[in-house]
Amino acid sequence: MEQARNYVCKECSTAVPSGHKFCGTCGAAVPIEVVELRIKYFGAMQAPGKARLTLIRGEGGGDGLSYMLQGTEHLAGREDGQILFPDDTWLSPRHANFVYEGGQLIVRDENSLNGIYVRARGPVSLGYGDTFVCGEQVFRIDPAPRDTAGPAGDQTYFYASPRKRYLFNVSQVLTGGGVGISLCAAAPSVLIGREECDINFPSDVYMSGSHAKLDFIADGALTITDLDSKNGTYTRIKNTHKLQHGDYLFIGRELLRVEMTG
Amino acid sequence: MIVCPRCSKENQDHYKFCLGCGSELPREPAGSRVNSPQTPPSQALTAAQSAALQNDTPAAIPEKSLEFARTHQTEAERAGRPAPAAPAPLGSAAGAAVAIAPVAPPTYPTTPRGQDSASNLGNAAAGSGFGNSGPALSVGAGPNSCPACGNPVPVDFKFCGTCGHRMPGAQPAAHAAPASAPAAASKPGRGTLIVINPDGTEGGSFQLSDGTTSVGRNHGGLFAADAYLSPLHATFTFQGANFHVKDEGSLNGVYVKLKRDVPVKLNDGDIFRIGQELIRFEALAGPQFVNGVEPMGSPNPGYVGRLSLVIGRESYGNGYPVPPDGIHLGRERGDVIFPEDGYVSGLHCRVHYDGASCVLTDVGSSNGTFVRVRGSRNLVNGDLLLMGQQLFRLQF
Repeated sequence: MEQARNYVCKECSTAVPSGHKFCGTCGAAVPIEVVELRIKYFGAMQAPGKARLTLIRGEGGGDGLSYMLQGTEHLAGREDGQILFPDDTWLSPRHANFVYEGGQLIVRDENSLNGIYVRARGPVSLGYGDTFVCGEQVFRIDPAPRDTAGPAGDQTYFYASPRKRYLFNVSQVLTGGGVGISLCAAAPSVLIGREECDINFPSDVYMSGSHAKLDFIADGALTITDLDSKNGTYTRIKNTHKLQHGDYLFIGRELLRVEMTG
Repeated sequence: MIVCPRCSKENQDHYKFCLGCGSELPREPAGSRVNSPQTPPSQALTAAQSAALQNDTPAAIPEKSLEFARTHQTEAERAGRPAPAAPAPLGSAAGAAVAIAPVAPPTYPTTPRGQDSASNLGNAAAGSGFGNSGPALSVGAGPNSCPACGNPVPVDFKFCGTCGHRMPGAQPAAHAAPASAPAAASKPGRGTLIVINPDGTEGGSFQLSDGTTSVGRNHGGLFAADAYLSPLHATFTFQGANFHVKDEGSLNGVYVKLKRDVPVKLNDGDIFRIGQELIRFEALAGPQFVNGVEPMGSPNPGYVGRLSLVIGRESYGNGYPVPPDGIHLGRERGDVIFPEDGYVSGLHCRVHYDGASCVLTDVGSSNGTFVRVRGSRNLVNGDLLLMGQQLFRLQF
């Protein structure tokens, strides 16, 4: 005793090979639901090529919350959109947009004040004015200060502190604006970490001992490399950025992980 | 290298306590020096060492120099001749001038000199090789105490190492005060600016007349050769019993030495000098929201200000925020260190918040902490002033 392996015509009980729309024996139509049957996923979370954002660390709690990106555009911000974090003062009302372009998930900065930071995989290029995050600290790269210590118009010499030839400047940007620590780099590499580095943050529990390294390549061209830190180094994206499975990103104080399905 | 007898950890030579177990480390064999260059030999200064006390001495002296100086001093004493100079310490005047400001005249002495705290005998001794012109004075018995500030002063000293007060009975140094200050110096005045030479002796003097006296590159022989003075640098005015100095918009300003352990208020934009370092204090603005969004940044634990190194006109080098409980500055101790500046003391000064404002305190540095005069300020007898390349003691 065997089960018929294909659809059996209701008129003449003949087996109809899969994919045929009519019975080869009697010409009766195969029902549309049989012809167009598509295998379904148990849940939408399995949908291929779609992504889910998981909140790793949130300002207003809600750690572990997931946001399914099932549509084509998904706006995130403090007031506007589908992914809302109303308590996060670092977020602009419309901050970021997660969009699919040809199957590729892209995050787009909606001209937010504070931007979007993506965890660095390998060395990332930086220029003057670019910002990045290590631990809880935010940094900015600036040109080295100008040497303005020459004699004045009346031939008076200016007394200045001992100084070197500096290549660039890296500054800690404080929340609410303002600059904290500022380091003028005389050597091409600068280490950032909790201790025994060039810039140290002994009380930052999210900062690894040696966290990241800045390298001067040429005037206005640097790279930052994460030194296998626990929490990673984040650089601010310019306009759009392609996301892949396992990416981490900060929008405001919200840390999100990207998980691609399928 | 000192190996801890308790836990066998290897410690650096100058450690007093073991890094591994915290137990006190054995000192080196008897009679040997104490390891830290900070720690003064407690008694029996050699002749050259006490001579050096007169000098202002760079605080950071490699221990080798110290040893060198000692060895040679002993030899010199035996031979009855002056001690030779030790190798130039870190940041000696000439070297510093070259390294720092290639445009500067090579003779520029970059540092305020002429006073030394009695508590830093060790530094002073270590620096004996630096002021190689210092005549070897004989060492007397125990120290006197200064009538002005009460600190101990070795008998042979003409001035108190702490406050610069002239000790009673002191004779003017033989080669000092050449009365070379022409013109103005000969006029009688109500006050005098006395140059303190790099070796701590008194140099020329400049009379300050009743009323207002101008000082600058275009005023008076004492100042004419100083390229770091503006043509009209400052004015000194007697007004009744008061005496004040006014900065006449000079490029490099007038600096007044702080009294030890006496805090002075820092205002936004104030500049002070320790060793060769010029440091600017700036207040920090509160959070600035932009359309209701707070600019993202590092956590701010309530910073009360910020210190920046002045490396040019309107040009600043490294900077550090000041937390409410303050930061210490020093050559090798403290939160902000200047390991390359031999004129900064091991621990030099402190900036902290006293509940109302930010204050700066000299914590017993050898060379002092100097604050730039903004506009004008009153002076008292004995104040030490830094103008251009020279250090002056005010007497009236």
